[in-house]
Amino acid sequence: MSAHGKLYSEVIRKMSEEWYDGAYFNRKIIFRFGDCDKSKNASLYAVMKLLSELAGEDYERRGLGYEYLLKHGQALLLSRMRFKFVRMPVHTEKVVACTWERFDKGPYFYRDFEIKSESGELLISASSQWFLVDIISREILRPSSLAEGRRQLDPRKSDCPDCEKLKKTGDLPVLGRRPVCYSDLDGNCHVNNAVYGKIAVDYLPEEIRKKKIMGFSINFFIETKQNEMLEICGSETVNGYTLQGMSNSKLRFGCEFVC
Amino acid sequence: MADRWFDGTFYKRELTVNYLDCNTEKKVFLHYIQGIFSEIAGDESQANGHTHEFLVNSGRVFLITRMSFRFLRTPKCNETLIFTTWFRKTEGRFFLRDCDVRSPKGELIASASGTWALIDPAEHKVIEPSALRTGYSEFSELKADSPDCKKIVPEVPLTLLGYRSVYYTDLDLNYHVNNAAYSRVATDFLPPEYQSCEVEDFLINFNKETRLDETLEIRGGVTEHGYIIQGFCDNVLHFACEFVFRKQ
Repeated sequence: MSAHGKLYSEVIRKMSEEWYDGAYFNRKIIFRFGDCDKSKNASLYAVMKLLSELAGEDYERRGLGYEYLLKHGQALLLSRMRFKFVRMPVHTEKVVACTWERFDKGPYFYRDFEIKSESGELLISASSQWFLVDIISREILRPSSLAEGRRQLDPRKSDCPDCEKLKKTGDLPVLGRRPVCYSDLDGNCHVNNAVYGKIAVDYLPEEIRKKKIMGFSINFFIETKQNEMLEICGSETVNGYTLQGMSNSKLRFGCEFVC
Repeated sequence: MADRWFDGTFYKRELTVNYLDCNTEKKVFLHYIQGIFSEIAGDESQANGHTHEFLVNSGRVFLITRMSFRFLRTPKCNETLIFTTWFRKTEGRFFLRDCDVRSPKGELIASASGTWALIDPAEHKVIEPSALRTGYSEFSELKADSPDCKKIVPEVPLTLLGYRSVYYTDLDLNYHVNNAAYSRVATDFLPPEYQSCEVEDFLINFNKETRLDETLEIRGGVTEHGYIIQGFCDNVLHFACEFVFRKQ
C-alpha cells in the first residue's frame, strides 16, 4: 500500500517511527515480549524477521514493493545473510534499525543493515545478498531487469563482513527431523527465511545456546514447501556450530554460528 | 507520537501488521493477534508498576488461563491496528481483561476477553487477587464483543492428529511454552482445508504448562461450526481450543 492510501494520522505516526536519511531507511522499534527468548534477549528469529521486513518496506516505499514486482512477474528472494553481534537487544529496549542498498554485482543485490541503541551504540550489523527471479519459472534474472523505481544506493560497508558462501558438509550427524508447518510459510508459499533461523536455534545444543553468539551466517539454497520434512544435521566447529537442513536429498539451507 | 499510551482506564497500542505476521493469503495469523493481546496486558501491568521482575521477586506471576476472540474480519498485511485493553473486574480467583482491535478510522475489527490468575511460581498455587494490593484501582466494566471465556469440552471423542515436539523458540521468559505458541501449533494441525478459512470465533484454555523437551500429542475433531484441537502430554491435557469458521 502506498503512503497516499493511508490515513493522514497514520502517516504522521509512522513518520515518527520510520524515516529516510538519503539511502538509509530507518525504523525505531521496541523488541516485544514475543520477540525475546527466555533470557529476555531478542531472538535471532525476531532480528532476522525485522531486517527482512525493513528491506521489504524500503523497496515498498521506493515503488518496488511485493505487489509491484508480482505484477511484473518478479520476486526478490534472499540468498545469503551474515550477522555480527556486539550484543542482542533486550526486552523493551528501544532501538533504531536501518538498512541501505549498496550496489548490485553479478546476479546479486547487496544490502546492509545496522541496529543501534537509542544512544547510538552499534548492537548488530548485517550483510545480505538478494536476487531477482521470474515468479513462474523461478529463473534468476539480471539486476538490470528490475525497474529502477526510486532506488538510492550507498556503497558504504557495515561493520559486518560480506556474506560467505557456505558449502555442503558431508557426514554431519543427524540432529532431528523438522516437519514444515503451515505457520512457517509466508506470502510466497514457502518457508520464510527468518524461520530457518528459528529452526537453527531450536536444533543448537543447549551448551552452544548458552554461549554468547558473536556471528551468524546463513545461505538459502532451495525453497522448502509445506509438508516437506527437513532433516537437520549439525556439528561443532572450531569456533562455533554448523547446521544444515536437507529435504528430499537436497540442501535447503546451511548456517554457521560463531561463539 | 508514542505507539502505546493510556487513554484513561484504557491502554492502547498501535502497530502495523507485517508480512511475516501473515499467512500465505497475506492475512494475519491468529497467534499474532493472541500474542499482542497478552503482551499489551503485560505492558499495562508494567506501566502500573507490576514489572515481570517485580512480580517474580514478589513470588508471583500472572498466567493466562482462558481466552476468547471474535473477528469481524481478518486484518491484512500492512494494515495499521489499534489495540485497546482494559481491566474489567476480578471474579473469584481470576482477573478478567478485555480488548478490542480497531482500524485508525475506528472500525471494530476484532475483540477479545481473557482470564488471568496470579500464581506463586514456586508452589504452583493460585493466589487470591486481593494479594495484589496496588495498581488495579482503574477498571471499566465494559464487556468486549467477544464470547465469554469458557471451559472447552469436546462433545465427541477426538482423533489423534500427530505429535509436536516443544522447541526452544516456543518458550517465553517464564520458561514454558508461550500462550500464543499453542494457537500456532493448533493452526498447524488443522486439516489443510481449514487452515486458511476465516476464523470468526476462537476460544482457548491453558490447562497445564508445557516445558522444553516435552512432546504434545495433538488430537482434534470437527464440530458443528468448526474444529476442536487438544494437546496432551502423558495423557494430561495441556491446552484445548475451538475454532469457529465464518460461513463462506
